[in-house]
Amino acid sequence: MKRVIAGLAAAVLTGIGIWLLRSELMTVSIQQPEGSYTDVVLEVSIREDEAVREEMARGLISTCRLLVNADVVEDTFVTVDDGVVAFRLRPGLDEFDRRELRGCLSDTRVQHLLADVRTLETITPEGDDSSR
Amino acid sequence: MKKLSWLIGVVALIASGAYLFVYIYRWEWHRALLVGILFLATLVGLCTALVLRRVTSMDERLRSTAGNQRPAGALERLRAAPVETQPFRWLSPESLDRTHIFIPVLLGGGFVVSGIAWLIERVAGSSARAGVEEQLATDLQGIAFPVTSLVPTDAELLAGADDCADDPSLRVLLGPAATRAVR
Repeated sequence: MKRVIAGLAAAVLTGIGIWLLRSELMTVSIQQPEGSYTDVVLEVSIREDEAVREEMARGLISTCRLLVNADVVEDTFVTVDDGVVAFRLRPGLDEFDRRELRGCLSDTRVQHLLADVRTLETITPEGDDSSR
Repeated sequence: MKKLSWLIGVVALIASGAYLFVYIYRWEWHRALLVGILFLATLVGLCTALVLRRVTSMDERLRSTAGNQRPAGALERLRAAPVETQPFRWLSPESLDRTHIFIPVLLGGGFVVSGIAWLIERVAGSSARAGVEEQLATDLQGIAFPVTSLVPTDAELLAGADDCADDPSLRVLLGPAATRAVR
């Protein structure tokens, strides 16, 4: 009897988990208004030589922006603080793309590079559709 | 210690399974893959441990139940049983028509034939040596160089000139070489 209950509990937990994942992992594309953009602020820590931090960060961003099909706006990649970089993507990302981009940037995609997303928000021309 | 191992294994399984969901939820696929491998490894390890534990318990149960039913005195019975000693069983008459005696017979036959051949070679070598040498010396005599010179000397040529050519005793003395040269 105990085993049956434990098995049922495991099955229910797995089902709930999959149900949650189903909604979170959707790759629905929502059309963004013309002129929208997404600003990203990233804290980057590195275990290599500090001189290559920016280069590695650029590589990570170049990889991840391909997933969401958005371009980094020219000359928007700036170093805000020590180990903190910012850049702008255009067109703006919808909710699902933002999740995907955040996951890609936070992931261990580049060895010896860890990135923490501080800000990731989409700004529309109307100004009332910004979302984090 | 066993309980601690089981506890660690179960905690690792639950934690890795939970983090697998979390990382997938966050779209962090690399981390999810790593944790997924860890989850699978833990799962396989735990399942193997479970099966081994079950097999061990069954083995112990079998030993405990079947051990009492065995009659005692196995060693005494073994010692009391007639001992069958039959060396070279493959040479027994009922086995002669079987294939498995072929190899030993072949090996033994080869050994015996090699011994006989070696003996014949030794006897023939020692007996034939003297006769062969004598025959060889006789054959070589037929092609040996003549004792007399093949070319006459100046003195023989002079002696065999026209003035003395008709002297038979001188011709015998000079031999055939001087006579041929003069002619």
